[in-house]
Amino acid sequence: MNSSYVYISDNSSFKESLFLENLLIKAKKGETAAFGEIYNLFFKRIYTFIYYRVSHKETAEDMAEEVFLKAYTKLGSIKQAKSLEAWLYQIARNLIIDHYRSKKELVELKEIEQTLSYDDAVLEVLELSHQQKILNELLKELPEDYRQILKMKFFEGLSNEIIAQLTNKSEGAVRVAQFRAITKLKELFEDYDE
Amino acid sequence: MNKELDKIFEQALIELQNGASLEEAVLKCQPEQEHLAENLVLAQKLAQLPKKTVPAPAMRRKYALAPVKTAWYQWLHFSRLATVSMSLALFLSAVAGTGYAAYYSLPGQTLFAVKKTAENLQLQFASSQESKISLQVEFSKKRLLDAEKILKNPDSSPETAQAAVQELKQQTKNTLDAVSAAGKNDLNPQQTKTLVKTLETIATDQEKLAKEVKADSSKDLAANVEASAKVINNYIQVATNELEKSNIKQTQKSSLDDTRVQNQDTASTSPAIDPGEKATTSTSTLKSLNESGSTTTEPEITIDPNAASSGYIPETPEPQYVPSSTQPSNGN
Repeated sequence: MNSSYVYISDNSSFKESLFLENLLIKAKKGETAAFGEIYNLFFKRIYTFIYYRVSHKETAEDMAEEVFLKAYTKLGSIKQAKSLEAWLYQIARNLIIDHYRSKKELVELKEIEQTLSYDDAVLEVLELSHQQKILNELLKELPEDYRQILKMKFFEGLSNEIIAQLTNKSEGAVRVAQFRAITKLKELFEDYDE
Repeated sequence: MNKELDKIFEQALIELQNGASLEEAVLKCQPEQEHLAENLVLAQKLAQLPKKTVPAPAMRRKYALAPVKTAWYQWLHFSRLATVSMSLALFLSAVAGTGYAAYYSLPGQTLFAVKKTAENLQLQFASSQESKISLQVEFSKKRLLDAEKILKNPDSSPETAQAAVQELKQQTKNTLDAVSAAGKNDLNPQQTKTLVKTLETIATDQEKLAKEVKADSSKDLAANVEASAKVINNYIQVATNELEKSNIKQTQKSSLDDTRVQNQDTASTSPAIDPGEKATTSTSTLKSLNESGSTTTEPEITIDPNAASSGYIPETPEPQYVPSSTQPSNGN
């Protein structure tokens, strides 16, 4: 299985939640070292999330740093440790929107939102096998929201909670959409084979 | 579609992520394993698509350059509104506290100047001559109460007592000036009557205070207060005479005007009031006061020289004090 495909089991989720809770309490008290631990835990994930959408190392680094600077100065507004990661992704998402908005003076918000689906920026297309290319092409035939959820879930390994936060949906809606998207993709794949 | 399929599928995905094999994950999909197995295979294929290599980021930890955020600092940061509100409340409390303290301040105290300023502002904003007189009369009563508090307090310093008497004199003079000015502006008889009565009350109270202070032999100010009361009484007498005369003339003028209207006569041919008459009367009134004798020489109170042209002020700059036995009747 791909190493970037990170899921957390219920048990480890519980442990991580306790650990994060502790870090968050200390960081809120002004312990920079505790916030440093949070930074170490999430920086690469946030950086990767941004990099896939801006495709530029230095820009992604600056924006990821900005995410944690904002988080550091507004740490008091986060109430629960379990929401911390989703909150960081939300800050990153807003910064990406601002980034594209600053590039174009007049741009539709819908267009910016679609930028977050980043199309093929995440895949190494040249390395795709024949079957994988077909799969990638069939993916483009899916409705936009289905395609976006599948990419976040299986390309980036984001949890349902974070996808829900980024797409303004409930976790249940994300789970149902994910299942329907896979079923639809399977049908397209079967039709293509025939 | 079975409503539970998405949940079963999600559970199987979690098994895959935790390192279970595809077969083990499919077993978790019972009783829908046949239906969901292909979905799981497809999900795995999606996850195995080659991703672009993400360059390793430089972790510069810019957050460490930000100021240390303690809980207290954060509270302040996120509660700017609360901070502003608190500052405003403190400021208003300070203003209200000063105002309260000033309201109850006495002559000779620091905040008394604030009180006087507030009273002057009240006078500035008074809409009519009548309301100005009411305010001056009210202030006179206040100064009388202030003087009573100070002079009857054995702990009062001579300076404070002197200040209280001086303020009392000054305020009474201001009141009488305002009353005299109003007298020339045609107060109606009822208003004149009320004013005269009020002034008489003030004079009575001042005399009473003078007697009380005089009874206390330990007070050096007794003579000063008594003299002040006499001077004030003289002024009151002059002012009340002026008011009364003014009203008599007003009544005469009204009668003449009525007559003129009836006779269709022109007003320019015969003025109703001789301007010189008023001045003569006023001068003679004060002269009579001067001639009645004087036992003190304190020249502290002077009549506004600007008022001399108005007709009721004598040519001599100030009236002389008269002994209480020879003082003109003021209704007491």
